[in-house]
Amino acid sequence: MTLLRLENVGKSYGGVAALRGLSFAVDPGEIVGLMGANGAGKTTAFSLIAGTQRPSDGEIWFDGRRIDGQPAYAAARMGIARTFQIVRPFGGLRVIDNLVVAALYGHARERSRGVAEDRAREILGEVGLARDAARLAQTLTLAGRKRLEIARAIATGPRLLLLDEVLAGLTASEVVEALDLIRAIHRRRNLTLVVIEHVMRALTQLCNRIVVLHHGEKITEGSPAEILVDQRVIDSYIGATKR
Amino acid sequence: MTRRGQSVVALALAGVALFALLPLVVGPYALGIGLGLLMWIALAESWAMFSGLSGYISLGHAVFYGVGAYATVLLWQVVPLWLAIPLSGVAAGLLAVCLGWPCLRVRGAYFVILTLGVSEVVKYIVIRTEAALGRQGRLLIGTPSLTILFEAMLVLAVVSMIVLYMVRSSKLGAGLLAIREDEVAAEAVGVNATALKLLAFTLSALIPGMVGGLMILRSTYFEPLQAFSPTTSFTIVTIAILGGTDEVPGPLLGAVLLVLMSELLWARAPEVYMIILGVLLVAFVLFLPEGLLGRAQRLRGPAKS
Amino acid sequence: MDLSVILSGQLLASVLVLASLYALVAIGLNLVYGTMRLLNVAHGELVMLGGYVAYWGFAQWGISPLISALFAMAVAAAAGALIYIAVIRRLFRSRFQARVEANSLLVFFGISIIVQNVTALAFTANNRGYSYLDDVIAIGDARIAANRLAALAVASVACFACALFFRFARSGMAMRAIIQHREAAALVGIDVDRINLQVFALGFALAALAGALISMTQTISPFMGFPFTVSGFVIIILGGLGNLPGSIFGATILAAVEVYGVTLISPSFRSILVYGVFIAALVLRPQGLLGRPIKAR
Repeated sequence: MTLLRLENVGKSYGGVAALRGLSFAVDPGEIVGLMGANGAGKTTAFSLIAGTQRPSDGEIWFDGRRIDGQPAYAAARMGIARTFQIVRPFGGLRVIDNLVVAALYGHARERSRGVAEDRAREILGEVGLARDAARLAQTLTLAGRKRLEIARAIATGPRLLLLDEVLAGLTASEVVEALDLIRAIHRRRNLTLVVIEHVMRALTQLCNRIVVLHHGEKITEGSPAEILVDQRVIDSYIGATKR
Repeated sequence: MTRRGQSVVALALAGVALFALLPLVVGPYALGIGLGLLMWIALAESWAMFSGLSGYISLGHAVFYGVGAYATVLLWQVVPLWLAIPLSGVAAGLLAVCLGWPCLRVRGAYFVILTLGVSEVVKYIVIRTEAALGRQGRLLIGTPSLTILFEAMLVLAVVSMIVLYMVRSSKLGAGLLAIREDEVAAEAVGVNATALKLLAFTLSALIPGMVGGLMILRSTYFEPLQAFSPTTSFTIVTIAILGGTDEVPGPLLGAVLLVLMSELLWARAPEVYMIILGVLLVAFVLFLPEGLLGRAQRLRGPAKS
Repeated sequence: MDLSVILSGQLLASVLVLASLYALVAIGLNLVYGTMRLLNVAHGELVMLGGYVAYWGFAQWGISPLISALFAMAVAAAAGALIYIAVIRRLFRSRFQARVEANSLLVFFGISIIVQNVTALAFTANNRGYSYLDDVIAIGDARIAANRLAALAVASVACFACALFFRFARSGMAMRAIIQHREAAALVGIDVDRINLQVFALGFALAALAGALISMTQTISPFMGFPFTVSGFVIIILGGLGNLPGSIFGATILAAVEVYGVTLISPSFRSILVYGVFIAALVLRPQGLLGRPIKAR
């Protein structure tokens, strides 16, 4: 049974259609990539799923329930967590408190602060921020903030995790570390992932399936191998590869 | 509880006990000052519980004080006093719900202006209502003694500090702080910002409502322009900024400083007093935004949040 | 209430006078907000100061308020520049970036308290007024005092001059650019800091001008400022934040609501009416009647 399903989802701002007739489904445990040039509508799709915006058309189903138009906090409580393209840490709070809030209010709904803190420490260890637990979040480097963004999303105890360009701005070695981390999280926590990325290597290495968007519409979807040789994808995004 | 925690609690209890015994020792003038101090503590701690934690600055908190005063006046001799005061708090809370529900859905800066405007609207509505009822101010006769009012205010001040402490370390407090940092991100991790703000806003109105009721018993004369005076709102904010809005001792410190200053200046030159308050507010916001307490904490070094 | 009264030229004249003055107040407020996202809670105090400068010039030396207005504008512009340099810039550079908005509100709030009480100290809290151009002029079926006509004339000319300034002057266009997109404006070489300074100077000057004109038509007091601040906010919300022509539109609407509302109900409801529109506008339609849809969240 699919975990997430978009049916004919559209979003317009004034006269401009950011998304049109988008349909795809994600099964539990999959890692699905969302790919396309800037302005193709990827982050808009995330915003619609996560509840930050409401769709103009179409339906979004999560775990058998219709969720389009729900506010963001409701989506989080249902088990949908997201990271932001431009990270939004709670800068004035300590790193660990960033996660504690998520653990208390998210899908996990931890009962007490004490339990929430324990879980937070555990997650910080997983993402490699254990030493920074007591620091103010705003003192972290960009790579650290990206880890925090992921950690905070995980702290809500989600079933579906939406990762929005988490690799952007990282050095090559940081990308490798991040990919390992994402894979480990996916495995260890039995999560379902939808990933927006521009780094092709990440998409091909990480995802079972990739959905390709262009100017707000889905032009194709398939396995990484299929996508790489699809003419439409090459025309709109990759460009001719020499491989 | 830690050793340090134990000594803090012991100190606090001693302080409260000393204060409770004050009426036996000092005369009415000093007791009046003590009452004023406790009043500002109760008001500022309650204010900090909402505005300090959420970052939504309420510049019109006097409206709850005024509504509480009005409620007590209306319930005077209709209901026994031990019931009237809590009911005044409830009245203020109801007003908070009515105001908060539309007002808390707007962004931080707009909310601030809104609180200023709302306080004024309610003031004018009360003035109109009183005029329509044919009342030019109301006089209360046979109000409780200063000692009783003092002890009651002591209770309110202590309760306000306990409430702030408890909220701050609770799930509600964590949510409010997250809202203060980044409301959109808070919503993304499951915080229903509007609901939390409304809850905190309402809680922050209860004690000011009761404080207003007690103070009107003290002054025995209800006059809307006085009860809803923007000066009250302004003083509350300044106290909190001065002392620090984040933790319990902050508004306490600010209130002490303010009462000291006002004793020296208010009677003699009210405008000068206000000017100095204004200068202090501006100076602190610019140079010491965390307040004296926050600054002291930073100097002591990073400890627990 | 007689319909002919409502439709009379008399009320229309009142609306026009009020609208022109409100427009001046709102443009200044909107300019500061549009370029720097700062809500100047002390804006009304500038109006009040302008009024007092005009009052003093006339009461002490018999100088026409129309002349004092120029002086008031100069002083206000200087004050604006000073506040920007000494206070606002510091705020922008502070460590607590997330709270710039909240802190700026507190700072302006503090400034308004200071200004109100300094004025009260200097002039006492009593109402002040003077008579200037008191003769009544008849236009059609409207009877209007010459000073109100003069206020309308000067305010309208000033609004028109502003419109020209924003359209054709380099600084004016730079201001509009910053309002539209601050980062982009900086990228094309606009010295945002210098323009910010000019914005403060201009915004304050317009408020002071309005105040000087208003002092001809009504009594002034040290605490008269806040209702003008509120009116200013109502207008910029009605017309759209950062939308300068919208301010004129919003000013007309508010003036009409006030004048006709007061006529229909009673003068003592004026405050409730203005604040009521304020609250309704903020809550129901924060993007204004003309503005681009922004969520106030």
